[in-house]
Amino acid sequence: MRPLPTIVALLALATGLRAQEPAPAAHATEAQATEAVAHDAMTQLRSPVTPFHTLDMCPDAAAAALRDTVRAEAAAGKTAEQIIESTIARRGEALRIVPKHSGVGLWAWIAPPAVLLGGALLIGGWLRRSRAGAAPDPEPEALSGADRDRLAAELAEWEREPGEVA
Amino acid sequence: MTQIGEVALWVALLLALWGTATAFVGGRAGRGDLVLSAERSVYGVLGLLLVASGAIIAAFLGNEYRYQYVAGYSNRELSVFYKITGLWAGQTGSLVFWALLLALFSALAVFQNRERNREFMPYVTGTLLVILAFFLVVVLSASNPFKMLEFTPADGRGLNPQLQNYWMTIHPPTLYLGFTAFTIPFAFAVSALLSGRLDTRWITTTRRWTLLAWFFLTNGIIFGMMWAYVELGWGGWWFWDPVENASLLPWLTGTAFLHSVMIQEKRGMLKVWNVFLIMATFLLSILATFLTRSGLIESVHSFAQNLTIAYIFLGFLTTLIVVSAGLVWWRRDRLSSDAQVESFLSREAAFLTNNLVFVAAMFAVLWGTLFPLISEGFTGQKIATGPPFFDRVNIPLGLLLLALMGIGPVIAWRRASPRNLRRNFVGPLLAGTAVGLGMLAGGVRHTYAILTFALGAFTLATVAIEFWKGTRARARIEGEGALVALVHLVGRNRRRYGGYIVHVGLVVGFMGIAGKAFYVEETLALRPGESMTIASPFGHTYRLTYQDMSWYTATNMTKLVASVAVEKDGRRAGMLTAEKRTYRQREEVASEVGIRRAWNEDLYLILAGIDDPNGVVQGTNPRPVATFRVLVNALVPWIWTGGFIMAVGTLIALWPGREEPRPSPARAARPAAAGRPREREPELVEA
Repeated sequence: MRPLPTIVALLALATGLRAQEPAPAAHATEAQATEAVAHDAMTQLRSPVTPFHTLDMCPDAAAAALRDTVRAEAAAGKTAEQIIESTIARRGEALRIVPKHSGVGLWAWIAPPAVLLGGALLIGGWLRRSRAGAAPDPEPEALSGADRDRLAAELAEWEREPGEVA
Repeated sequence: MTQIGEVALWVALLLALWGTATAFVGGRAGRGDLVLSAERSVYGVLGLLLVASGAIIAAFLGNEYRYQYVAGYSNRELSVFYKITGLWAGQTGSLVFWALLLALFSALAVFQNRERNREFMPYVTGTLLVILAFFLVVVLSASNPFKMLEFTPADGRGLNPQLQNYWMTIHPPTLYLGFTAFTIPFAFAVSALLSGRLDTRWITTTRRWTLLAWFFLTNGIIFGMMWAYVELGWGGWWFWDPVENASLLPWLTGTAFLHSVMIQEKRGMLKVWNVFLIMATFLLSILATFLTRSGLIESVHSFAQNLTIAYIFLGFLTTLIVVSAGLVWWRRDRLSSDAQVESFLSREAAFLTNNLVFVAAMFAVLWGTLFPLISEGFTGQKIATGPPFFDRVNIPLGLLLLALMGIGPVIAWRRASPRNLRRNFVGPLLAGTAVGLGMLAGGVRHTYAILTFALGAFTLATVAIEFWKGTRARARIEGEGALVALVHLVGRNRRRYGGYIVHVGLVVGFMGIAGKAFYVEETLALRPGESMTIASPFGHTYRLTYQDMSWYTATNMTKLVASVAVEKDGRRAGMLTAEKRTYRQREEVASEVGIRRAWNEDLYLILAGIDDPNGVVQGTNPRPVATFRVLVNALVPWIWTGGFIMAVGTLIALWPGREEPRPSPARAARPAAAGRPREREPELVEA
């Protein structure tokens, strides 16, 4: 099919991206795994210096010191979650930028999917009512022989044409 | 001159109030003379706001620091360019600028409809003037740009360094153009409700206004992303900051509106929904302004806290919500659908789902933005919602939209037959699956990235097939070459094919965003002559060698510039410079990043720190240790390319001119043959 070039191009890109992901073997190195955990934690903590930066992006020296601490904790085998909680325990709740999945923070997570689900249920219900209330198709009139032949010819012509009317 | 500016604002307010009264009374009583007076008031307000804006610019250019606004946002060393853009650099000026743009669009709408849509125009004019009056009240009561200081300082404080950037000069005006242009369809919707003319007329009349507003808002958001990328110096382009979110909110509902009006035009359905969407879009643009101006929500972008403005905006917003809801309730009997959705497998259902996802995304962004305030209000404890929260909530919704972008435009109206589904979706599904599997086979394990590329391929394939089918049909019927047939195909149905191009741009942009999964970053302190390497996710390696640190003074700043030589896989690939700028007047330090751009990635250099900046300037330490943060930002250029494609697509859809009339449902076309009259192209589905 003609869109093949599109597919080929996208496949080529996908192949190109193969190199983007570190090779599995490289992934396995301990240092990279540690850095990945540390980075994961740093993106979920606010900078203690500039409130509009996450810890990973803050250019300030104080943030760099805290990043070193985070890396040290990651090297000690802590998970990102554990690092986040221990950092917040030391430096205060102000550093938390991802609401907890408990208490009041839970509402932050629940409301958006609840709205999506509620909306889907509303639309589903409306569609069902709409379909039930839709007027049935009128009884078709019987085709005459001449019309039947003409329709068959038109449909045969239509089948041969490329641009389908959706 | 400047006194004239303040007088102009007061006269503009009086004129807007007069026009409001005459528009509504004239519309109600059927008095054409009063309506005409109201329409002329719009032109008058525009003229007066031009005078006021000119006076503000004149004050900037004349270094009139007795004015608080000029002293706060300018100084003698500021270039003329930034003095002119000082009109929208701060809160007070930007409110005047907002009113000016609104007056400009209002005058255009009034002029455009001087001989048509007369039944709408009294209430359209009245609504526009109410909003204009509101902004003038805000300016004159709480944010007067002509307010004087008790003394005249010798110089001003200067412009915020981060605002001294090209993208920042065009980002706010473009955004404001989007916000204000959405006021026109809103005013027509209000007028349709007041006049009771709730057929598709108000929608078809404002179709181009809606597209224009969407065009500006989209580009405004993208310009803002570009500014953040080059100016904020952290390597990203979107931080889910409240002010960024505020600009996204009306975009989400506005995009939903652009799609749902097609259902009303085609099937006479979703009348209440369309009114709701355009009202929500306008109200959210007012909310966006409220969030930016009030200072109630902490943001890197917002203006200083001004509670007076906050209360005025909140009052206006509440009134608008109550009045809008009241109008819809009043006219609910006339807003019933003319038809029903017949199947879940239909374009109507796909567009409804699209609308649901857009509105859910809007809610998610709004909820996340306001949650710190809400949680503090209820519990006394402010719970922050940072970028990871927004990413987790919105990425699944974005992926759903990506899939719907492929489904919606090609699935059949009313009810899709199995044959229709097969013919339209088998190829795209194969394309999407192939790309997804190809990435998995290539070792990519990032789920969202794989889904983005697979769904993007699916959507691109549906668009490609649509273009291919249409071009081939036209080439056969009209006997045209493929390229000519393609151009004519697009020209004959600009709205549909422009829309497809916008979808292509959005897919490319989504893929660019997905590239974030592959970012690589290194931070290292170097002495001059030392090097660092960073591996690109595309397989090559960059080597960066810190050459030297220089310094010099520019007009209103001192620059420390680090020069770094770049090699790509051992070959010289040019120089990058990254700067630390110290602005004299404000004594602020700002970073300027160095970016080496390629079609698929950016090498992004940040000068994170200098161990002895004073030593460099004083000459005691000309070779300081510098800390560099280097990122390879995969696919970021695709975001900008996607934005450009979207802009082109929107302009095609917007382009004025007569499109050929919609073909009749009967399929009349057959291949053109010599000696036979040309027949019409097969019906092309409106998208």
